[in-house]
Amino acid sequence: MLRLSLPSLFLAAALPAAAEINFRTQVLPVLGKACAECHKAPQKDSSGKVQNPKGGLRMDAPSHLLKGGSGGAGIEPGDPDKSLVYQRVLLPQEHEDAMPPKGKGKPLTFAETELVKNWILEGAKFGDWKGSDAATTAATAPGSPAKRTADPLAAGVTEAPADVLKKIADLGAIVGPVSTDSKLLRIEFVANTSTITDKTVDLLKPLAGNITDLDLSNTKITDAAMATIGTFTRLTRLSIGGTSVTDAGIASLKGLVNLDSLNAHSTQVSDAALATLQSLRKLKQVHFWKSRVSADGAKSLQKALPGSSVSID
Amino acid sequence: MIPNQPDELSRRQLLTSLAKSALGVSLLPLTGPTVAHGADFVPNRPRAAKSVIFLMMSGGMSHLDTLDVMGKKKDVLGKTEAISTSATGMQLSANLPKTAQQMHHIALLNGMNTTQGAHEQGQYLMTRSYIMRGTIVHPALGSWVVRLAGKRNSNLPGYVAISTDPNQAAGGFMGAKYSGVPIGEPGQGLQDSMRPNSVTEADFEKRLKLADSMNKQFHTLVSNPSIREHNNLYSDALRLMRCEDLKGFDIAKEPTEMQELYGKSRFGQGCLLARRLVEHGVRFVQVTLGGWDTHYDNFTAVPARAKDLDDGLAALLKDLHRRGMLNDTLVVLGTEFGRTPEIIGEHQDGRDHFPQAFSCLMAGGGVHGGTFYGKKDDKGGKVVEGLTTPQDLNATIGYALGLPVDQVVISPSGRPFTIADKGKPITALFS
Repeated sequence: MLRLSLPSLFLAAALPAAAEINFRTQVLPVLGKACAECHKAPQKDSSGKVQNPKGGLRMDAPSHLLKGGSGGAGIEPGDPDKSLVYQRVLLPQEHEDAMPPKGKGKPLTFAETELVKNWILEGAKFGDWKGSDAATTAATAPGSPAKRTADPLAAGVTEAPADVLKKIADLGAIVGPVSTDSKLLRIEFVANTSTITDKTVDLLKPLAGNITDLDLSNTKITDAAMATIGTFTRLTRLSIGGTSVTDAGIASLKGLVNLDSLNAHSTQVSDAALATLQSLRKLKQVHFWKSRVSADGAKSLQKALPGSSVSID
Repeated sequence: MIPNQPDELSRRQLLTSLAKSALGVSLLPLTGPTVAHGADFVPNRPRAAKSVIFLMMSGGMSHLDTLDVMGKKKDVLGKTEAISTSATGMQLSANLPKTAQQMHHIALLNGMNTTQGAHEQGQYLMTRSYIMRGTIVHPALGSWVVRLAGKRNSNLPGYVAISTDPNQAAGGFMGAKYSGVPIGEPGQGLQDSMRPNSVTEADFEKRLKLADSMNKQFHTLVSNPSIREHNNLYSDALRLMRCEDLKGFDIAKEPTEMQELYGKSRFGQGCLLARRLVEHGVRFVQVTLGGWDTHYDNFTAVPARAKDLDDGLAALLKDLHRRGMLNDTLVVLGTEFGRTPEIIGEHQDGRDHFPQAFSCLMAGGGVHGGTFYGKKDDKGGKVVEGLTTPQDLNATIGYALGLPVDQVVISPSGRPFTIADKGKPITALFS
């Protein structure tokens, strides 16, 4: 045993002197030549049929290589025995799982399989190669922008001034587009609500044409803020639950023809506000729990607005 | 004091397992240091849900005695009866009379199927989307949600786990900062989060400075990430201690009738706390109800558990709706597996573990209420339509929140993971 292991010790000592394997310049060309044709992102062929990557394995980005396909992890850093990509290229050509399959490309040479093995042993570092990872996440998410039609409300919306957005975010608010494809804004004051006042709402004036979703629940705003909010013409959702807003505040909303949801629970709003709300024809959801709106009032508003739900409980 | 069910978490277990998962960091600082504020998160669909309340029925909830009674044969239902609900044509078990009145908000997932038939493994898959392994701890669903969507209220933790084993809420490879903040007794809120009255603010400041000057030398000599993380934990704890949003943890601030609406059980009060936390901007709250492992005497044990569930769940849906919060809050009821259609006489009419077919539910968060997805045969033993895996359930939660469900997060060991593994969202549940 001793006699055998001594020379191999020398060998092992000699190896690490070589520079670390560079994925982009050394490994990628090998994999590109032998594998990329069948293991890429799903694409349509000339007949319009979608071609999925073989075996569910994509090799066009680090994440796909690591994740592997239906058989398991493609690359297991540090462990060639568990890396299917390496295992499959080692198989004899006759084997049904051998890669590349017969007729689809030349088998890898010994030098090439050794290169892949050593790269895996070194930790399978991809260096600066990102492949398709850079672009994938947003585009493939379900409900991604491409699948939806444009929102007519967003027509003519200008970019919101960044300095104003920052000022509001610094107050602890959530400020941002309503969804990835929109310039329309949602603003939620969730943190430190006792410090959010009419003055805070004044700060939103430069965003008047952008705000479509505004949550001021449990803040210290009054009817004065409602006058400002009344100028936010693209507003579709407004939450003022738990504030001291009254009927006078609701009267300020008469120009908000796009409003479809109003949450006014735990406020002083009463039946006197219903005439204004009845004129907002897009209203679909109204919450009046613990307000001064009566059951009959809620029922008559619901009747006046087809397809709406007006709840007091 | 409410006595514990055999498979429920005791205070002692909570402390032991917390000590293990927090590695010497005290409870309060676990409130999520340096986790990104959600300001930069943009949902990929408009009007996505903002928060999740996940009700975990631990022990394996018997589907035939709770959610899935429609069109089932008498011999598999046993003593359980079906009642009509607020949604036309839909039925629930008579064990859930109050929930039945909220059925118009609820979508039943009756096609649930899992590969795991043991409790720990089943719960792991349900709450983490991956099979349990010895070599890695996958992050909990709440950790994923906070990682992908950030916090809604930067003063508060993004993820709170009530009456839940802290191991089950662990951030896994994402680290302690993504773990759920554990609350044992809902009524006690966040422990040790207030400055004691005997210490004035000035004194407190002085002590902090002293500790800081003593630590300084050590920090310059030994600089490593875990020490820096520890430091961040303290600054976050201090911010929480001094902010008004801390009252989100205090259900004593709720009127008596509200506390009674939710039921006086630990689970009911946990649901009340969950609503309060979501109102204050917590992104993900899990509330666990144990005691569902009804191998013996199923028809006595299930109604007892179902009462706590019924009080808590029905109150939660009603209360969220009244406050106009239900559209923005996805309520999910999960469990690790179902129980056998076969009633086992020699075990005083018990039911055993049954991973092949079970039921969960979703409500709010944009989900169409008064519906069901998936179907079992008339014995409740086989999914015949709309087979749904735990991964599909978690993908659906991600979809509801407008998260990029296929966004890859690479573990420190270099492996890629996603919030729901290969799960597909059930988009049919949403408008």
